[in-house]
Amino acid sequence: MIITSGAALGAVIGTIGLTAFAILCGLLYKGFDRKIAAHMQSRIGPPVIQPFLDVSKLMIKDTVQPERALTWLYNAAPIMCLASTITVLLYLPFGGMAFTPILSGYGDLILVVYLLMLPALAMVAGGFASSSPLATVGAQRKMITMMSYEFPLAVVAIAIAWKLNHLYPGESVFGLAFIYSHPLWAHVGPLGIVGMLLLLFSIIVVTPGQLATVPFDICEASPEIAEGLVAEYSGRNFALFYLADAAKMVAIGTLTIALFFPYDISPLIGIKGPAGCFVDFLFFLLKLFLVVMFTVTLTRVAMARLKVSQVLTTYWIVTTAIAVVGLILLVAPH
Amino acid sequence: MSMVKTIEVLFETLFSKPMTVKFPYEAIEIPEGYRGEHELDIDKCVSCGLCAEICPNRAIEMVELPEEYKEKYPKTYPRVDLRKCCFCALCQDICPRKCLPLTKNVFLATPDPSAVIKNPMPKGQE
Amino acid sequence: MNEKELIGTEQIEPITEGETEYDFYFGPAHSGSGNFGVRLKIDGEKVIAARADPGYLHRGFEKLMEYRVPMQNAVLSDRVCILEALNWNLVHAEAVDELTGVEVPQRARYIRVLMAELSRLQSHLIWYGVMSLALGFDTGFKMAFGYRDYILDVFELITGGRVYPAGYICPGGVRKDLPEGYEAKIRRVLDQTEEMMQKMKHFDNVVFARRAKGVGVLNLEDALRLGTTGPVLRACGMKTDVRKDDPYEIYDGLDFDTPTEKEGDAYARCLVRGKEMEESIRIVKQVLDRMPEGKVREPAKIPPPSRVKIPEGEVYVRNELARGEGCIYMRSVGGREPYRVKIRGPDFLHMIPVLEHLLKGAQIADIPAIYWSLNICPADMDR
Repeated sequence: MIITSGAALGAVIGTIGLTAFAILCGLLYKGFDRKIAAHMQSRIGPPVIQPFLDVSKLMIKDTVQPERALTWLYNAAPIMCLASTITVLLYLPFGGMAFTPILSGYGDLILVVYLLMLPALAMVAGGFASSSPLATVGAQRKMITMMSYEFPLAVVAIAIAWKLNHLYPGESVFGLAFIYSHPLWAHVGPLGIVGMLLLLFSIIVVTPGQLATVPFDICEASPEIAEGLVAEYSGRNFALFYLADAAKMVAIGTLTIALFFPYDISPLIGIKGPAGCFVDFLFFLLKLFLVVMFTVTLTRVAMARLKVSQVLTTYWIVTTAIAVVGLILLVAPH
Repeated sequence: MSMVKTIEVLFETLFSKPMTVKFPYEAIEIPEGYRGEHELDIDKCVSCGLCAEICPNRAIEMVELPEEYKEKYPKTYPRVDLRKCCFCALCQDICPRKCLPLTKNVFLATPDPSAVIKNPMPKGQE
Repeated sequence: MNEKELIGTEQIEPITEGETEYDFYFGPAHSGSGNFGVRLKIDGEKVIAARADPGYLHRGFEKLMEYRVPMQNAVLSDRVCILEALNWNLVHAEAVDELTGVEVPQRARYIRVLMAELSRLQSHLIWYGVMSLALGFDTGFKMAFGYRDYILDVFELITGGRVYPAGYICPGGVRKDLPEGYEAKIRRVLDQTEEMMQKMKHFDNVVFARRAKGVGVLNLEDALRLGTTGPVLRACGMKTDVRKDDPYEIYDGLDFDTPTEKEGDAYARCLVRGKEMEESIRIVKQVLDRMPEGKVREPAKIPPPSRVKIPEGEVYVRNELARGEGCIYMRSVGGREPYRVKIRGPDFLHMIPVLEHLLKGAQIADIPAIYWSLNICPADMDR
């Protein structure tokens, strides 16, 4: 593809804008998460802008480096984590159908699933580079979690694409723009709907694993290994990990919405043009809010932490089985 | 399944009033008998020194007053060092004239080091 | 002296090729261990050996008590284990009463039992909160400490302090009488505690069953050999409770059960403590119904320290605390201060032999469940 200078400039501006907005959105939703979790626990909780205050405080603090850390890797890991998370966002339809992804023709669903591994790998590298026994144990556990949740995630991706291929043979079914504009719920029979629900359940179970929240936060389990993976990080490095976490929340939420709830509201209400885009954008933010509340907040408040062996069996056996059954139910009756 | 009951409980608390007391805008009322700061009634004090004897942390010392008050108050009177005090109120209970009660004042944090030693002073001079 | 010697980096052993064992210090400066350190030798995710490292919280109580008269020691006895301050007040007060031979008034006995049982309730709420925190269940932690505050309101009303009752249960009775309106307040607090216990039941399957079943199993012979007492022993199947075997105060006139379980794992200990909370509420209700009138301390005024002597003798008093059996041995040779005070806390044996025995062979992920299900308190181990 020939890239015109106009398109390149547009891509750069779009990237910067998207980065800023996604991080803003992620931090704000983190604030909502803490506030609503607090009210569920019968207390008040911090103000909704607390994550912004946290990041500004962390940015002005010194980084204290452990004596035996592998310096270049220790400092590069947070940057890589944030950069790869932002890269994932460039492929996703953030904000509804009106905004085509910036790198729309250059990658598809498979690439996104692979790219989602990079932030986790960066954290693992950072953990191992910290040269502390706690961080090492945390990094090992993060690797185990990562290896376990990839399988159900891949099954979900393949199931959606397989069904789309049945319905629209010949199209590039892995392209995210295509997936976003062709929701599946209306085109499958009752068995297919059950299959879709099972696949939705699988991705809901995978999301806390990717974001390292309870019940799958064994890599940062503070009563056991004292913040494990990020134990040796402080100051600016830790702020970058924090921002990457916020951006990851937005990225995975957007992926879930793109696969399962890609509806736009403006055709329903009949608003067209720029006003329609704006309404769609707000609707997208609302959907993202609900997805985050359900997958992160409710599970975090209602459940306890699982052990390493339990995480493995949950992902490898239970979730994979549910996803495969969902795949069969979705694809088979045709 | 008890997950359902857990989520029910959580939604119930989500929509009820939180348990938090928004101090300092609201406060729980401090009841009578709370052991806070001492308040010496120097006119009733007979200098028996029992408060200094019973204090488990030796926070009370019997001292004389400055020169200008020695004529009216010639004996020794208790000086309470709040840094050592554990607010147990044994001094209040043992005093035969009940002149060293503990008030309800618990807001004793101060950046001023001289304020934590309560010297005995005639009324109006503390 | 260069910086390396100051930091003490010689303690960190360099990892040699092929060796998968490493030292893990689950120590005092760790967010999951309280004020106590355990040196673990770990291979992968399994603990091979554990060595407890006590002494971090040693304050020298037994010596401090030798320089103070009994009334002053009552104030000190709160601090032996602050999580159940009134229970330790009671043990000390009983020891001195037995030595001096004083007859404690009936009303004082009832008040003592009332405060001791309320203290047991709030201690179990702390245990529930901390255990939930250790297992990652944040909601249980926040709610337990929230509901505990209501019990602390009652302490504030009666003793004058929320956490430190300053020797409210003192030799001769209690320090002051109950204020107006205490009964309504205590009944309201009991209702709120029952609300919390109902929530604990709803949270049960989510938290404890998954992580605590089959973990840290202690069979009865090992429990007796290693000297466990209290809920830990009751969870192994033995029906024993000092309040029934060797009754003190008015416990022989009260009606309550001793819950036991058979499996001896962490989940059984949790169930036993849950049921104990119900029994405590029952006892408090009976005491409120039967409270007699009368004096609250014998002698009514605190005697000057220079004039009272403790008669010669020695005494050993046992009480059932929230954590197990707590005892005080006191010996006097006729002076104003006791000659020797020995404090036997239930946690000395729970934290050293029992913990080391249970941690051997456990996974790292099970360490918090085992550690906190024993409901240890570093304060009364180190004194």
